[in-house]
Amino acid sequence: MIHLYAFVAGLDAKPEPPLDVVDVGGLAAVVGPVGTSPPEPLRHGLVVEELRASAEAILPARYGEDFLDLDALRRAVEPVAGVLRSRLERLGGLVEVGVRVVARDDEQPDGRPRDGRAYLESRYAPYARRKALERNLHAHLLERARDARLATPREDAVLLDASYLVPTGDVESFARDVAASAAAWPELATVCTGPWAPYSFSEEG
Amino acid sequence: MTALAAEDITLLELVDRVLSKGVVLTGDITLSVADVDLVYVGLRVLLASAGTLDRLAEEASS
Repeated sequence: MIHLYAFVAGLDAKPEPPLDVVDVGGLAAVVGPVGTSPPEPLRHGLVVEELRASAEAILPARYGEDFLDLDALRRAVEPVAGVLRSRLERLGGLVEVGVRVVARDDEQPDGRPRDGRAYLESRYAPYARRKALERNLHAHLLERARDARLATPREDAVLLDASYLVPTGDVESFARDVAASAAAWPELATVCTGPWAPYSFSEEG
Repeated sequence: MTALAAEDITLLELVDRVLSKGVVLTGDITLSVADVDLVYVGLRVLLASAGTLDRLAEEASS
């Protein structure tokens, strides 16, 4: 079994064994062996980030793309090789910055609602705040990014879960912009992370 | 929610991306090794649980 880490272009140094770069359908794929257990997600992520730092373009694979052998990987890649190549080209020189906005603990309503109206208002509050953040913070950051993706928050406390595609050289100024913009919402906690390989932009385009 | 150190948040964000985003090739091929894949699917869910993520973050920062 082999584990697929990413497709890359313009890698400046061959990764250390047991990692290997193989040509599949005209694409450079970084693969590694799967032993008795697959590599852990964290290990997968760290390998991808090392590759990102030394490649001109990277198309990260989601964790769990394992194949019986190189032939099986080739059979999976060949029908979509053209699509993958154009995505890789589109993502050259670009990285992903994550922005997550979370309500602080003291913002959570405590106790039982007074009545039905208060209950409905408390249920509506996260939705209203999300819409406000999308209209303001997100719209502002989108203007400074090449592209963006909004994930649907899985918890009430998460008000914005966004990823922005920015040129590698702009990461620091983008992060400063996030911090400056977030200052308008002192009651919310804003977390900005990255640069990451463009995971959120690797499934389309 | 408990306060997390910056490194922990970074690791969680990385693992979140690795597990839910990135290129996925067609399912046909993985079906051909269905026995093995089922194990991995189970593992993916398990690894995505909060407790496991905490442990991963702890291990990586120690």
